[in-house]
Amino acid sequence: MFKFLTIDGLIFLILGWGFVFGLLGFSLLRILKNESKSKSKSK
Amino acid sequence: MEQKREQWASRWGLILAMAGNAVGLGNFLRFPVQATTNGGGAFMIPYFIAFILLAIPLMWVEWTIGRHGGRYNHGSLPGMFDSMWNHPISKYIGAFGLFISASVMIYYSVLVSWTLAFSYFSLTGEFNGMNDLTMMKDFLLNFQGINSNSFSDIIPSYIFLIITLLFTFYILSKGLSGGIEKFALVAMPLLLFFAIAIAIVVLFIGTPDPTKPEFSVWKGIAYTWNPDYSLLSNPKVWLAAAGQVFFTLSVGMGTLQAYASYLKPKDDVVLNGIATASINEFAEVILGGLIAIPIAVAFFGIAETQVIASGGSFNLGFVSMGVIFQKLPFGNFLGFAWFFLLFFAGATSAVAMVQPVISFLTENFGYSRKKATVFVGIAILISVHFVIFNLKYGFLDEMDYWSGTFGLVLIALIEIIIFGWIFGIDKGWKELNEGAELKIPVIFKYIIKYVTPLYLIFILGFWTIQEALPTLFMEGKDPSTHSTLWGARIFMVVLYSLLCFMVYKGWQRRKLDKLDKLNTLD
Repeated sequence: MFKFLTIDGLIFLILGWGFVFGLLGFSLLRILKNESKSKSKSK
Repeated sequence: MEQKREQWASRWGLILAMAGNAVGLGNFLRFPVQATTNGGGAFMIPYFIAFILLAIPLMWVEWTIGRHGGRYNHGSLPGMFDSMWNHPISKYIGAFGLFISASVMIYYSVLVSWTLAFSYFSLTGEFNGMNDLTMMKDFLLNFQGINSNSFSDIIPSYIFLIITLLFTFYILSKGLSGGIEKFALVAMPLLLFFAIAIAIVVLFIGTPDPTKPEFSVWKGIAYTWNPDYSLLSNPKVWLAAAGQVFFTLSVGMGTLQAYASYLKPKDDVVLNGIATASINEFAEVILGGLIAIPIAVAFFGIAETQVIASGGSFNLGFVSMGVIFQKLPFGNFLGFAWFFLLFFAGATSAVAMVQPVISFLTENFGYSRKKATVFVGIAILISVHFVIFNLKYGFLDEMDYWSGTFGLVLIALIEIIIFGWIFGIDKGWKELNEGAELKIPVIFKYIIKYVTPLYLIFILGFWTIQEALPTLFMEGKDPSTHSTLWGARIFMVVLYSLLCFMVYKGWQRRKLDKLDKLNTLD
């Protein structure tokens, strides 16, 4: 599967994917957290 | 009579609408070509640097300008700039922003209609038996009317264009929450579902011909991510990366501002903006990077894929993908899924491009949303005829360069200077952080004021010398197309002049409205 990727290529792929998934996960989880906080406050 | 300002019905509706605004054909077609022809994995270095220093600051600035303008009932750049910069010229500079979104929409709607057409053709088996690139390319050129001089040959593409325009304007006529938001809540999850499904299929394809081990999806992925460091010393790569992040987030078009103008004054723009940007990057870096190039390499090999990619995004996205799906089981359905996800990506962006003009008419001329939608719809319908009948002579490409490429960067530079230097970075920073659900590192205050403008000046400077001047003087263009290219330029100048005139009239009307109100109070 990874035989064509060089070490550098693998590093760039992991960093690139990691950045995107990290940003996506962080922002969506933060929104979910804030939304549930504001829902419980309004109750 | 003032109409109550519309609002987003839900936070997720807002985020998906903004993500729809950003996610477009470029995520799936332009990004793979740019990445692989500009150094592969090494391209990601200038890409992510540009993302942090250029795209994110501009995206935050545009959300803030939009929300600020909405407070004064301005959903388009003329009014937004006017509310930040107390100078008579500010609204006419804002009119240039309105011109950008309107003129891009004129030709973008044609591209979106092609994706709808190809979805239909895939599903109905029109591509059955089209096993090679030449056959598919001929089909595309015939469909576009490039291979013919007769209107009857482009009747199918004309019909799909009318359907696309009717659909887009139907969505817009239903309003913000009833139309744009509802559409985004359906289109974006479906788009992502189709893209993820196709990406999974691509990964399972692996090496379709075991006798050609280099013809492999994994080779394609490696081609995208293995770095060619030698290209990093080439300024063109840095410019290409900056351009890609710029276009991918749809900054510089006035569309983010238009959507943000419907936020309440204390609604968050920071976290919402980051969420939107990250959805866009997921569609681009992950999904866009996993589909077109890897599957093209699996079936055509690296060398042929490089030739395909050098022919442009449509060569990759329409011609090669169309042929590839013919070679797969359930190819008709997969082809439909591919082109339909591109249709959703394009349609959600197209809707966003028209919204500033509709806002402009409803807020400054008192049009109802339906009346504004019909008015703009007719104007766009008339204008697209210039594009479709002059496609082969470069009308679309000329508009794409001046409004969709150069113009975007120019507007972005203007707005960040207005935000950071004229409105003032202290006021701007306070406005940006109003209601923020995420603390922005203070360094971004200085990035917005100094780094981003300098980066944009650098890009514009380079582009002016390397591209704008040669484009202006039509270097390398077939002399038989010169009259069409001048026609496109005159068209754009007339459109901008018309918008400036409408701004002038709109502001006169606002002044009269204010006087009437004062007289009523007396």
